[in-house]
Amino acid sequence: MSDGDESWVPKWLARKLADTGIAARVTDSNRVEADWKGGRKIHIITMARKLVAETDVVALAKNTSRPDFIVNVNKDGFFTGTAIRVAKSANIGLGSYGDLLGALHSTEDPRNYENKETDFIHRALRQHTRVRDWTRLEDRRYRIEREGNLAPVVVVFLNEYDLTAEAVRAAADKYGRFQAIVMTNPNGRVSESAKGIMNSLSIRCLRWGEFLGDLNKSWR
Amino acid sequence: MSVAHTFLFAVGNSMTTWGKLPQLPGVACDVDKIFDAIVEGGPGLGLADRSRSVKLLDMGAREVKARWEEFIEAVEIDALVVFYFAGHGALVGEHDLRLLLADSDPSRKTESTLPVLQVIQTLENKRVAEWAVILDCCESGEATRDRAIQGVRSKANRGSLIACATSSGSVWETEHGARFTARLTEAIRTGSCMPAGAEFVDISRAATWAKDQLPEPRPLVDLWGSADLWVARILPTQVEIGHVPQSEVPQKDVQRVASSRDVLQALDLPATATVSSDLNITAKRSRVRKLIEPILLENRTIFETYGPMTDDRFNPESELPEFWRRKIQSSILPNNRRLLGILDANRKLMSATERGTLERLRQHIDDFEAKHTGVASPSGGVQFPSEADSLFKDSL
Repeated sequence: MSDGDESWVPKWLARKLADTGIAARVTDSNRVEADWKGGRKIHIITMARKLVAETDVVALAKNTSRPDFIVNVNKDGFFTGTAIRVAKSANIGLGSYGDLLGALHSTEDPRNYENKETDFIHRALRQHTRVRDWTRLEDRRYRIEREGNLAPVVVVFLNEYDLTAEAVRAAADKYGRFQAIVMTNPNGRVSESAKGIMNSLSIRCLRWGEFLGDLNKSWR
Repeated sequence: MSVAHTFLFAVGNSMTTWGKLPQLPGVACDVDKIFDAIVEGGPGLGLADRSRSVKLLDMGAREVKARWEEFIEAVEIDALVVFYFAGHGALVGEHDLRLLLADSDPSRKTESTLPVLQVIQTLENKRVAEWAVILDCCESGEATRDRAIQGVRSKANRGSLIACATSSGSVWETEHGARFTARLTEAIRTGSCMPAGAEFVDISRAATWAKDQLPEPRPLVDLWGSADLWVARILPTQVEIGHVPQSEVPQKDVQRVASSRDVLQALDLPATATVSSDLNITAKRSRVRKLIEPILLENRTIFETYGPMTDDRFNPESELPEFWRRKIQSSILPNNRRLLGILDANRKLMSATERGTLERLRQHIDDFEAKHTGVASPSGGVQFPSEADSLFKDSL
């Protein structure tokens, strides 16, 4: 759902891409076309909204001029898990401005682009012997089903360098209920005030190794 | 004084039964030089307690280890302990550096060598307030890459230093001794590594100064913490050499001021001159730039290669952060202090805008150091001001 005027986004995006050396032009009120390797044109739908939901993607997926990529340039924006799944099944790339840049610089088809962090998370979950399955509830919130008698857990993966109280509160606002924040940034640090907030919200803070270890255990 | 006592344990081995390693005739000179520079009552103004400091030459492993245990047993914990070794070093595993003694033998490496890890473990177990391990031997830099060593370095004390004659490979040696020890002891004796006005010589600054004087492969200085690491006093007359006018030196933070030698190097003046020479401002600025450029470049290279903004930030299993943290202690923190010292000493040559940049840089350096020495919260702090990269780049 749009939060307001998004007409500025295509022009902003085309200029921003040009600044990074990618030729791009506005083709419609919410579309940009970017040059890719081999002369191929990448068709991009632009958005600037807090939440990109399934409905936003379904209409575009059914459109005859289906895009290659949907970008949401809102820095605090996020995607529902169903929006991600619909885009994937329709073979449309979906992500933030950073993801779009990664996709356009990638040698793989931008429609199949997955950022490195997500790749690492999925690979670790796939290889973990206690993980039976997982559901991506939103872009960063996952429900992880576990083998045996171990109850499912809901976690949010954050890549912050400085995990501050503000970042914890923002994650709680954005993603609602979850049991733990898992830090995916190997350099990530947690401030004392962030620890205090997590404590008051009964949210655990797990470094990557701790998370993988705790998947073998029962959580309170 | 920052600690109540200072002690030196110096070991030199000019010959060893390990392999067919050559004799090192300069080792005896090396041990004498360090002893004279650091121990009280010598030609220098050393602070180490003469009656309790130890100097050993060409002894076997059993005796050296026994004397080391005995020495450590006797030291008080409110002390700076300096361990010094000159001789042959050998790697027996990945980064596992052994100090070779008179009877060292590859078939009995456990009992016949002195592992650097064991030395540091002993210092940590004793919980001395400050310690410095000075290694003037081949492969010495490998010790700083040893995860076991960095692991036992509990960082529960005020600070510690591992100074190595070479970052990798062999060291320079003459019959009069090794170059690193020569430069290190010169810095301690003359105080030329210290800022104007300083009363004591900090051995980490002396090692950094020595490092800067020597060619590749350069020595390696791995400093942690905020210990003073004072090993000698400075004669008042030494302070006068090439002095920077005190009005240019921020008195409250004298440790961060560059050595007067640094300033004079920048201005390319003889050691007896002062910065108030007749060189025009543009030429002086250009020389200061030449001095700070390698420091900025080294810091930037480390940040871009190992820092938290590389693509590895998306890999939670990346091992790059371990390298990043080590390089912060061994290179970036000492470089930052040196950089700030040079800039402070040359404030007069700065524009008003550059002085603003300097103050932002100072806040960044202070926050960064506090964060990485455990003094402040690990998160937050002022970022590096990008305009600092251009300080002294153009004429005013």
